[in-house]
Amino acid sequence: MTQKQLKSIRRVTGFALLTAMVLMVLLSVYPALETSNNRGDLTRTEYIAGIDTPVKKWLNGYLGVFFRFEGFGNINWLVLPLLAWFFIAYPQRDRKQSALVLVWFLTTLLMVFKGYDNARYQLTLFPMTVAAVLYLLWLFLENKTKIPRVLCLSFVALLCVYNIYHHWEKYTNQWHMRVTAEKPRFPHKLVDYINNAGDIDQKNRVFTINTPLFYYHTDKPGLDYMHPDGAQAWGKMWYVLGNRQKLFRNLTRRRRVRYILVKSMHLRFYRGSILQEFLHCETRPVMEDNGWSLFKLREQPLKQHLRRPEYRRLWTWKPIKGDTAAVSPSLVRFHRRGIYSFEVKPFTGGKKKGQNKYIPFIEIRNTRVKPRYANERRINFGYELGKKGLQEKIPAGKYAHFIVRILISPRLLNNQNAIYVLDYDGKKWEQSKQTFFSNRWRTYVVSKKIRPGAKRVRFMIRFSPVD
Amino acid sequence: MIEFIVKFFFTGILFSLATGSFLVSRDKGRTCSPGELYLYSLGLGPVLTVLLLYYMLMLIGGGPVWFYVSLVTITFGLLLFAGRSALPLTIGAAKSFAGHTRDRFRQISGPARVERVLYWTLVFALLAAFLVIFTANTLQLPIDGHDVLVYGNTGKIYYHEKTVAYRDDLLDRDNGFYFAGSPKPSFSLLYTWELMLNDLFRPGPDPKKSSPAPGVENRDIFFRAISAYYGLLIICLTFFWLYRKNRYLALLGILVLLSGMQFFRVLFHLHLDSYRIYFLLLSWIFLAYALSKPGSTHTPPTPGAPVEKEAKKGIFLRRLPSFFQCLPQRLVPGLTAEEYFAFFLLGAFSGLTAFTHIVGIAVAGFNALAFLLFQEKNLKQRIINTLWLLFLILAFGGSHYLLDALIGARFGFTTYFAS
Repeated sequence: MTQKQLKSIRRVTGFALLTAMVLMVLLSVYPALETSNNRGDLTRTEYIAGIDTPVKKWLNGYLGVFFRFEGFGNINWLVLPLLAWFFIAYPQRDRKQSALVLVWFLTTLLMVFKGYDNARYQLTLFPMTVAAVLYLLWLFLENKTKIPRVLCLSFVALLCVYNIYHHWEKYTNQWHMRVTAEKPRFPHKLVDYINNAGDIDQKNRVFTINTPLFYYHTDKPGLDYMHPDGAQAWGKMWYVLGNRQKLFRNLTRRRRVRYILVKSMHLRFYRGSILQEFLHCETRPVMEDNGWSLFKLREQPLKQHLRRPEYRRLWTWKPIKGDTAAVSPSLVRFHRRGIYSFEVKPFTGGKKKGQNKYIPFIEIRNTRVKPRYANERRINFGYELGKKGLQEKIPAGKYAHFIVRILISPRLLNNQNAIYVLDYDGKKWEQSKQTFFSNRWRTYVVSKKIRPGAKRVRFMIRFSPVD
Repeated sequence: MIEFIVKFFFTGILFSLATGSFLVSRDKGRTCSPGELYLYSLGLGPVLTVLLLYYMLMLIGGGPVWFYVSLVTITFGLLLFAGRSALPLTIGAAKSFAGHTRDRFRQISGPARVERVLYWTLVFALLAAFLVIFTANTLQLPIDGHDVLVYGNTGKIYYHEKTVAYRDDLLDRDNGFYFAGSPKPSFSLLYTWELMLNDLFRPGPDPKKSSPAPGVENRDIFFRAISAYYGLLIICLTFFWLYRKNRYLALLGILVLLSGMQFFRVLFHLHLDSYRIYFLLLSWIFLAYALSKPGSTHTPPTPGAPVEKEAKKGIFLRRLPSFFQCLPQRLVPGLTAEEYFAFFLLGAFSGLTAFTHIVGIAVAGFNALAFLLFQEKNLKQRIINTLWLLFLILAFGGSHYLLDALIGARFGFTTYFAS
C-alpha cells in the first residue's frame, strides 16, 4: 500500500471515528432531554427551565450552555474537545486568545452556578460559543484539503438542520404566535374590557398577581401583590388557611379591591396557597382570554351569601364522633371498581389556636384492587336527593350547589378526580364538574342548573386512585 | 410604519452614524477599518442615548421633555461635528472598496462569478425576507412578555417622574405598578426615550391606552423593535468575523445561530437579551484588540483610498492647549496612542454591557481581570491601566450598580450573588 493510500485510509478512518463519536453523544443526549416528570408538585422554575429530572438538571441546567439542544443547537458541546485540541496543538498562544478563553470560561462558570435554571442567562454565551466552535473547527481543518473541509462543514450543517427538524413543532409554534398570529397570546378582549370597564377606579381596584401587562396596557388603577399594601393580602393567601372571609374583607374594605387578575398558567404554581379556593368560592369569573383570567369578587363572602333567604341549605355532615353512617348518614356509594374503605378520623390540621371543637373527616382508601379493574379503579359516592334521609326537591330552573372540603394527593390532580352535580331527566344524565386544584385541604364548589323534568339529582365525588 | 421609520432612523441610524464617525476619526492607529467601526457603531445610537438620559435624569431631573431630547440631540451633533474628518475618509474608503470589489468581480468569470452572485443574493434575500416579515407582522404585535412589561412599566415611571432615583422600591403612584427588585435602567430608558419623542412629536394629549390592535397603537413601536435589531446586529457581527476565514463558514454561522430556538426567539420576541449580548460581544472583541501587539491590528489603507487630511482647526482649537487635546492619553500614560483607542472602547463596551444587565457587571469584571493578567507591561503599569479601565466601566454605566448597592432597592443587586 502506498503512503498516499495509507494517508487516505487514516483520514477516512479518522473522519468516521469522529462522526461516530458525535453521533453517539447526540444519540444519548436527545432521548435524555425528551424525558419529563409529570409530578404535580413541580416548581415553576423546574417547569419553565426544563430541569424537571436529575439528568435534565445537568444537561439543560448546569451544562445547558453545551447540551440544551432545544435552545442552543446541538454543536456547542464540540467547543470542549476543540478547545482541548487547541491547547495541545498550540502551546504557544497569543495573549488575546488566552484572555478570551479565560473570560469565556469564567462566564461559563457563572452560568453553571447562577444561570443553570434560566435559558436566557445561558444564551449570553451562545454567539461566542458558536463562533468559537466554527473558528476552532476551521483551524483544525486549515491544513486539510478541500474535500475533508467540505465534508466536515456539511456534516455540521446537517446536524443543525436536524436540530431544527427535531424541534420543528416549536419553531412552527413560534411562527404561528409571533408572525402569522394564528396562535395569539395577547389578551386583546380582556384589555379592552378593562379599559372600558366603568366600575374599575380608585375605590374598586384590580388586584394583580404577577401581571405587569395590566399596568402597561391599561390606564386603570391596580394593587400589585408585591406592594407592601397588597403583600399583606397575598401573605394571607399563603399563611392563613381556611380564612377566606377575613381575606375577602381585607381585600374589599381595606385594600379597595374589586377584581383579581392572574395568568391562568401560573395558578398551578399557587397550589400551596388558598388563591384558587378563593377565586373559586369568593369570585365570579369575568373573562378568560389567551391565558389571562379576570375575576370579580362577590358582593359578599360566599358563606354570608348562602345565608340569604333564597337559598336552602342541606347539611350532610355532623361534627360528632362515630362511624361514617353517624357522621354523614346520607352518604351513598353509587358505583365502584375495586374495594374501598371509609374511615372517620379527627381533623387536626389548620385549627385556630385554642380551638377544641371536634371536626371529623372521612378518609377514603382503595384497599383492594380487583385484577380485571386494575387500570380503571374508581369509586363514585356522594348524595342523592330522595335517598337516605335527603328529602328535598329542587325546582326546575333553580341552581343546585355542592360545597365540599377535600384533601387529595398531588398525583390525583387530574381529570379523573372531581366533584359533580348531576341531574337525570329520565333519558340521560347531565353533569357539571369541578376538578381539584390543590393537594391541600380546600373547599370546592360545583353548581348546576336543574333541568325541567329532572327526576334525580346527585351530588357526587369521583375518586380514581393510581399507584 | 412611518412613525417607526422616523424614530428608528433618528435614534438607531443617525445617532449611530454620528458615533461611528467620531470613532473613525479617533482611530489614528487604524485598529479597525472604518467599515468595521461603523458596523459596531450601528448599535451605539440607542444605548448612548439612554446612557445620556440616565445621567441627565439622575443629575438634572424634573425638567421638560424638550430639554432632554435637545441635550441628547446636541450631544450627537457634537460627536458628528468632532468626527467630521472621518466623513471624507469614509466616503473615500467606501468608493475605493466598491471599485476594488468591481475590479475583483471582473477578474473572475464563469462558475466563480455565478457562485459569488448567488452567494450575495442569498444573503441579501434572507435579510430582506426577515425585514419584511418582521415589520409587517411581528412588529405589529403588542408586548406581552412579563419581563419586558416590567421594563416598560419602569420606563413609564421614569418618563412620568422625569428622574432616575435610587430608592427602596419603584411605585407608579398613578396606576399602582410596583417593583421591589433592582431595575436595570438601560432597557427601560429606551421606552422612556420613545415616550419623550411621542410627547414632542404627537400633538395633543397622550393617546388613550386602549388595547393595541395591530398597526393602530405605535407608542412603543421603537421599543418593540429593539430585540430584533440587536439580534440582527449579532448575526452581522458573527457573519463579519467568520467571513474573514471563509464565506461559507459565515453562512454556516447564521445557520448554527438559528438552529438554537433561544436565539430564534430573540428575533421574534421582545426582550433585552440581544441588546445586552451585543455589547458583551463588542467588549470581548475590544479585549482582544486591547491585548494585541501594537501595530498588529493596524488596518492598512485600502489601495487608492484618499489619505486622511488633518481637519483644519478653527481659531478656538488652535489656541486650545495641546495638553487638553491629549488629556485622555495623558491620563493613561502606559498606553500608546494606538493602544489607547482599543483600551477606551474596551472600557466603554464593558461599561455598556454592565449597564444593560446584571450579568454584564460580572462580565465587565472578568474583562478587567483578563486585561490585568494579559497586558504586556510591568505589574505597576498593568494595575494603573486596569484601574483606569474600571473607571471607564463605571462611567459607561457600571456606576448604576455602585449607586444601587449604596442607596438602591431593598433587594439590591448584591443579593443576586448572595442567593
